Amino acid sequence: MTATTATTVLVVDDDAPLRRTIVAFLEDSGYRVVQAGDGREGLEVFGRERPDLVLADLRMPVMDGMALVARIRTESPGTPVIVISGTDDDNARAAAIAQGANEYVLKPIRDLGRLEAIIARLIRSAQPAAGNG
Amino acid sequence: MASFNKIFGELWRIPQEILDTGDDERLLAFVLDQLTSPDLFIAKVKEVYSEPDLESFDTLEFKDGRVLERSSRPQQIDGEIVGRVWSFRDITDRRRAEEDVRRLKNYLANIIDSMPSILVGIDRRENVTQWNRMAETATGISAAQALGQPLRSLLPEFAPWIDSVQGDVLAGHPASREKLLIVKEGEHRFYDLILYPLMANGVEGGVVRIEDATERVRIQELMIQTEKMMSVGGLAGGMAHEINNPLGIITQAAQNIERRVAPDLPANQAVAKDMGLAMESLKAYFQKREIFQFIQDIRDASARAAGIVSNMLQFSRKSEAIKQPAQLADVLDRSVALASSDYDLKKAYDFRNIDIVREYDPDIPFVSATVVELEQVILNLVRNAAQAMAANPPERKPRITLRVRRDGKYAVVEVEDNGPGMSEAVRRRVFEPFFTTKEPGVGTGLGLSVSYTIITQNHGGLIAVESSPGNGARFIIQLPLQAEAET
Repeated sequence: MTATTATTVLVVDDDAPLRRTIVAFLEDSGYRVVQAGDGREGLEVFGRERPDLVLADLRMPVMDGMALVARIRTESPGTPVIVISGTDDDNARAAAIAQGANEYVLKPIRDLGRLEAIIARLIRSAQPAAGNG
Repeated sequence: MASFNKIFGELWRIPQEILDTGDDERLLAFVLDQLTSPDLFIAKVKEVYSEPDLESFDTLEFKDGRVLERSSRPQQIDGEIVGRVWSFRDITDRRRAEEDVRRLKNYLANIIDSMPSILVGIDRRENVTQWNRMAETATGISAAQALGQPLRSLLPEFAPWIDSVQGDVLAGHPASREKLLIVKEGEHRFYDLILYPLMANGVEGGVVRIEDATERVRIQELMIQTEKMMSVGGLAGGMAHEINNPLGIITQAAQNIERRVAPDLPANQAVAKDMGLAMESLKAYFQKREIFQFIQDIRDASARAAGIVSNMLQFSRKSEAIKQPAQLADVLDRSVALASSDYDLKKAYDFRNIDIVREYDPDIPFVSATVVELEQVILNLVRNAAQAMAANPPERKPRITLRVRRDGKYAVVEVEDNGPGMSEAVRRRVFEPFFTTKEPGVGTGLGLSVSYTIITQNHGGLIAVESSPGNGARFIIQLPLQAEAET
């Protein structure tokens, strides 16, 4: 359950208290977590930090999650992206997956442990060549 | 012919020329030619001449529609019969007037009898003076039996309502009562009652009109229901997102709290050590003060709220699930199987104690349906039934009757229980979102309203409930049969 300190996750959500719950949980699990409050800021942090995985909300000001996912896909096709959304809607889910999101997780997250398991799985499969120590 | 007066010629319209000749043969031929039944005319003449003292009276019908009254009596002079006097009177107008009255009477009777409502005339003492065909059909009492009988003995179920408006009617005003609920053999029907005085010379009596408003009331209920659903649907979509975020904060923060007081997490141990805090003591303290319980309650509550939000989304979501031919009997059986494996049901309501009676009509065609949705509806009805029947006295063994039958273009599914039933006030509201009679936390008040949406919007069907206190509840689902659903 504890990740290596090298593993960085970017959390992008405009709702600060909500962002904090995810950041805290992942930090406690040993991830290095960076964060952003909207899509554009998220893209900046992404360019600077090159995280191993991105968690992104959909509805955000300035640049929304869909656009962010699309931009990350073009910049870094191999980086897993998990969309976290309050919209339980098949169309939104399909659109996010079509933009290149790897997973669509619904808020509220009843079990953050399961989110962490998804994160770990996606990072593992994104870096098959990287040997584990 | 010995003599005649001037009117005679005019009545018979005999040309002067013939009268002048005095030729009886020509006269007779002319007369006969005008009649519809000349043979009868001749026969009568022969009859009276064969019996000289006979007096006769009859009517003659003319081809042109006129009617003459003919009388014939012997003419006597000093007690001796010397001949006959024939007299004629034109009664065409009288005849027509009689005919008109008869036709009008028939017409009015027809209007009254053809009326699709019960129409009853009463006199001042409320005895029946008129009892139309609909009254006969509705009560099984013929007009002959009803006439002269007291109204309230013939329509006892309406007597209290009639009493309630009697004052108005006696004062000369019409009065009405709408949507009266009458339960007959377990069936709910609604009636409109209208009472009005007959006012020719003061109040001479009155008229009671009773109309079956059941269909109208059902359609009204349905429209109100649909409207409510639509407004909820519109709100739900926008609300869901807004509520899910704070719910996320609540439940996710609670998870962090839980985790950050756990003694085994390395990050916790590091901070605790810096502060000289013993994690084990902290945990023991939290346990003693029920902090973990409170955290668990927060998580449970937010999960409940999230469940409500997700149910509400069903209103705004047009079902895109694929429909497939479904055998309703299978759907019912699977739903019951699901119910019997439902942990909550098993634990609290001991589902095995409930008799399941299956009355499946074998010849039910497939319906086009999203099976999981139908199962959700049936499961929900069965669960409600189980919960309701938990209140049954020991001598009334819980029983759920499942029926599948065909009604014209619809397949009909019924789920009936022998629980305590519900009042009319409750019955009317059961499909309303957030309406519940269950304990807080047991029901969200969304189960039936979601079922309603699934049946009406996703499947083009109807769902209704019949119930009264003490008589259990029967939910009736109508689903269009496949042939209709596909066109």
